Amino acid sequence: MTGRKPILAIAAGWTLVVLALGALWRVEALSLLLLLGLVIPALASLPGANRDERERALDREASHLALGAVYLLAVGVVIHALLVRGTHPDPRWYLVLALPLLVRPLVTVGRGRGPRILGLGLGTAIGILWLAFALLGHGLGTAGLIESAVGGAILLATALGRGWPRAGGVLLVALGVLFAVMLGARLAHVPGATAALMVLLLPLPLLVAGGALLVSGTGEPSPEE
Amino acid sequence: MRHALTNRIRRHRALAGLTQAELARRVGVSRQTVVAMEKGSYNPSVTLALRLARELGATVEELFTLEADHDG
Repeated sequence: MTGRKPILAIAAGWTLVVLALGALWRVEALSLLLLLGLVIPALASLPGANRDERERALDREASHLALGAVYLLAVGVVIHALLVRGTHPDPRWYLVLALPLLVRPLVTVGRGRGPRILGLGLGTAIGILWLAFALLGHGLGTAGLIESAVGGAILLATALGRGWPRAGGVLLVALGVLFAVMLGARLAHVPGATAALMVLLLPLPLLVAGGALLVSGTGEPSPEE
Repeated sequence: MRHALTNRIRRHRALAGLTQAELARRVGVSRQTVVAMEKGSYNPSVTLALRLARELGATVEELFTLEADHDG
């Protein structure tokens, strides 16, 4: 299988560059070798990499196990911090937890069920979560009702997307942009990992849900619909 | 009751006078994949099964059999 040669050449070239950086600049530059762990599997998964179906299946299985191992580590760190030490862990660990929790179902639902179901499911989930947090956090007082209105708006936009995916999609994207703008001012004052987590949990899912509904509204309906 | 997929790739390859490496090259997979298929530890996709059948001069049904596995 000749497809491995370019990947090995790229890996060897990068290793030489990093070794040179380590020797000429600072030894910590050797940490850039860690990127190979991301780049090599990514290159190997490209169609031109000439890997056969069994090798791709093995790659996917290995990636699945690697994800499980990393997730287990993050869960362990978070639970240990919360339950044993009684403090919050470094926010970066929440980020490590949130990324697979978001990306995996997005890919599974998006590719398995299509953009319409992804947009509707994601919009509904965000709306319900928002409502639950608003009511549990603030009760039925004025603050709780104002916060709940946001969740209600998300659910309404999603419900609209059932019959009119483009309209629902535009509204969800608009809400996502609104959240992004509102968050923008606050992000400068929080640590990078916290800022990334806020973007990941608030505007980004809305933008993805809206985008998915817009995509579903532009294509032909599938035969079973 | 489960069903187990068995294959006769090795027998048909021998009849065709091909080595594992030659068959692998013809169907566009690695030799290790041919070894795994012959051992039954990897079940090929429909596309690969059709390629194997074409290269070995057999039908897919001649190469692969779905057998009832009463242990399941």
